[in-house]
Amino acid sequence: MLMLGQTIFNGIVIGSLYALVALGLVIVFKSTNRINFAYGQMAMFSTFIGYTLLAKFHLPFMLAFIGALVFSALLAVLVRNILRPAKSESSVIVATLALYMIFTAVAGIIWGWDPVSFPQVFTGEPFSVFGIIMRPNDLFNILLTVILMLMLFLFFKFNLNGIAMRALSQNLVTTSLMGASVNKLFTITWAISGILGGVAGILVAPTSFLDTNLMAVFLLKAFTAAVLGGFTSYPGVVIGGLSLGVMEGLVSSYISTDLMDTFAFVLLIIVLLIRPEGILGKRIRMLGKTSSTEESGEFDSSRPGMSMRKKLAFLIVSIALPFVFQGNTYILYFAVLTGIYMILAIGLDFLVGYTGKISLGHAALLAIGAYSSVILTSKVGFPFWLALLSAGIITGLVGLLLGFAALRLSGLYLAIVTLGLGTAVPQILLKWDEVTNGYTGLHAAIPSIGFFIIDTEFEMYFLVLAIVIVTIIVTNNILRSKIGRAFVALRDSEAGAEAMGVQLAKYQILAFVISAFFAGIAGSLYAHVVGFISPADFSIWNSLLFISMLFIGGVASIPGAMLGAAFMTMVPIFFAGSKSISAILFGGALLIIILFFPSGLAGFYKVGLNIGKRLFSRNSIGLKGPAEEEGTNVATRNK
Amino acid sequence: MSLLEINNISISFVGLKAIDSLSFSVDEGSTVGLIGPNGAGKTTVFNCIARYFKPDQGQILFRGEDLLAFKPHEVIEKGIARTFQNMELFRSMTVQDNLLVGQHSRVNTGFFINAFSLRKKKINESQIKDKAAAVMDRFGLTPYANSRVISLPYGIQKKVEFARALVSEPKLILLDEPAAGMNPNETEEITELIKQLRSVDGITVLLVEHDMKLVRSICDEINVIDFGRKIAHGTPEEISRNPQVIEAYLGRQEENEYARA
Ligand SMILES: Nc1ncnc2c1ncn2[C@@H]1O[C@H](COP(=O)(O)OP(=O)(O)OP(=O)(O)O)[C@@H](O)[C@H]1O
Ligand SMILES: [Mg+2]
Repeated sequence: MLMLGQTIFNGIVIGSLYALVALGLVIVFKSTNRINFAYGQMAMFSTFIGYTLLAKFHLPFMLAFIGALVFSALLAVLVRNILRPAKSESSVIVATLALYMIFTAVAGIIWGWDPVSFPQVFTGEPFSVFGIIMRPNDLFNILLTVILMLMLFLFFKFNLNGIAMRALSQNLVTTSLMGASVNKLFTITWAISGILGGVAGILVAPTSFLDTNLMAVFLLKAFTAAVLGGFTSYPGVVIGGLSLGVMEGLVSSYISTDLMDTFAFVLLIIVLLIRPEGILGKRIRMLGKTSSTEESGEFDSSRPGMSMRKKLAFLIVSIALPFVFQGNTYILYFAVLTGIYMILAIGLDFLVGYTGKISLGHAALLAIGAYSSVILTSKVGFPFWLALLSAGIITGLVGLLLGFAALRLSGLYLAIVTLGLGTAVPQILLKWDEVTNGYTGLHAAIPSIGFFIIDTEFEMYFLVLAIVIVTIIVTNNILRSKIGRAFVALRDSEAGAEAMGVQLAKYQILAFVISAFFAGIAGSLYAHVVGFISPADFSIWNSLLFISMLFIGGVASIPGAMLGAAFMTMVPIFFAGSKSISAILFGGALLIIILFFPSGLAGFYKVGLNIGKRLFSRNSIGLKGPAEEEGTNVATRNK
Repeated sequence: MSLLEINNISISFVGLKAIDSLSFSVDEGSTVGLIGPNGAGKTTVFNCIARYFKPDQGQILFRGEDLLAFKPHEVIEKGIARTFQNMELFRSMTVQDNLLVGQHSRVNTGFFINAFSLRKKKINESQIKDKAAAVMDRFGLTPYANSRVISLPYGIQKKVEFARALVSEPKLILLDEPAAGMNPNETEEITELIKQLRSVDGITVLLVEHDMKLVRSICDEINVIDFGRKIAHGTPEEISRNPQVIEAYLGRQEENEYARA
């Protein structure tokens, strides 16, 4: 009984922090309809600022605390302004992921990657109330959270801005008609959100250590709390946070401590599938289907797949490369990795590019492929080729489940769920050590086909190249068939596609299966080429790298996916040893591309080509058919 | 014999009764108009037939079969194609590809046939490309075959959507304001194309359109609805003389003028 009381109390202490972060996410979402995946990293960054003020400038705690919050508010406003050019939901998501990477890397450069300890606000002796042990700091957490929430409620209830802001979240048009300065309101919302995050960071830091990953798992918990509470109701979100804290406590003290973090993810999935509107949220009634997304115009699906010329160029370069660098195993090894990531990227593109569904957890699928393949070869005794195929099929089945779940989830929720998957799978691999060998990882067998043992980089190169070529051919065929057209049609207009007989559910699930299948194949190859896998290879950070490589290369384009994969393996080579510099480069490139050049590197290539064409054929006027008049007359007259 | 029969359907959205016990039928081979003031519920009727909405009550029969038993994507297989008032084109795709998606329900090749580009796929592809080419030719879209839809002027886009509905070889075509926003020349072309549906393909047409001249010139009969209820039915002459219809249109106009003042 006593233990139960203690568990509940501890749950409330941690739950109130979940609630704070969740509130910060939700007020921004409600007013500006943007979800900030960098929120946790911003809080981490502000906490480090507080740390510097304390440790380097020796300010008193309260001053440092306030300093960090001021910084946090300013940072939030800055982020808001950076995100302005992003129009669509998915570009906001990806842009905040880019910021996630940048903040992490910059923090790593400034404060290092090693954890530091952060002082508690109150360091008094614990005392006991009815046998429940409480520390003054715990009470301070709860108190501060309650005060902040009350202030928020009062702010929204009585303040004129608050009233306008509530109106805003209900109807943007009326508010602008009301003459409220929408822009100022948005800025205030973001600043408040930043402060909430900063407070949470400073309260969370003493419970563990302060490092760049301080808020990564926390963010997922906050999403769970927000979803639990319905994403739109403030009291709902607070209750969501508190109950998540308590439930986690119960799971860890009565079932297993190891399951604690995975629990939040499982809960998230269950809630989203059963009651997507959460505990208190209003059911959002959707009549009919949402029609065409505003973003589909950014894509060019006029020539899906890869042209014959590009295929030939790739073939020539890729066959010549190993002979040029025959002695250089270092380069060959990275070329092999590039090939593996190309398979993954092309698969990911089926989802992100062609079907318009985001996946922030693709490293999890890679992991499932890799572990399946290693376990099948070493424990079951499958030959390599069979394990490779099985890894694809097993991962494809996981994709099938994910696809079913995704049918009920809109863009934002899908992003959260896949982020959850990406966070949960490495955790599960870590904990499930009878099979996965935990931290230590597993050794993978050297691949062989029949009697032919593939043990040099040179041979592996051709193995991977063969699979890359098959991948390209199959992808090309799919894209230029009924199936590929159905994917793109669904992305451009669900209503239009359904009216033409395209079965939404079938094709959406199929896209997940294909994508996962390729991820599984890539995972298997990765395991056997590298020779060793551990959960660290498949962290959420890798998932973010994958999504950014795709956007950097250019979505909805096979050459784009391939360029992205090459970029991803190449950058760390040039900046060997500096994780931070390459992360900044990645994040920065991703941010610029998503905000200003939606067609990625593949698009640059096209621009370059056009300039080249113009330079070399100045007198070819008059050959222009209507097909080349693109972009001249984009009329959207409405009646 | 009536091809499409709408029996006493009603649907309401959060308190608003958009369609109220509406019945009418469309005879095979005829061209029927569905008109009414803004917000009368015309598009909602289309959405019920296309199965986007489920009527709260009533029955929709197509060739004697209960349409409400089918899903949205099955409606076209039954032989009903539609256009949308606000155009639901696949904007990043070419005109040709839009027309290929239009034939989605006509192709039944499985996954592996497509993934490995087997012979059956190639035969199918060339068949549907021929069909698309024929329709594009008829609609004057051939020059735009390889242009992305989003790069085309509005009038052309409207035609692409019309062509996409026709290319599936439906028995009944639902046109939601095909001439909206078109200039007189374009309207003339569209009128001609709609006439051909009957004379060339023998397709039955249910037409929603605000351009009364167009409606009068091609419809055999007209149903007029207002506030979701049928207020009149008859030949174009009968309708243009019907006092209730005149009242509905004029009344609404006065209201609008009042609102504007
Ligand atoms: N999905 C929906 N949710 C709520 N109300 C709707 C929905 N669709 C239509 N309505 C309402 O139903 C009524 C009928 O709308 P509908 O679009 O069918 O009119 P319409 O006759 O096509 O008008 P118009 O000539 O302007 O196209 C309108 O009052 C409209 O606001
Ligand atoms: Mg309408």
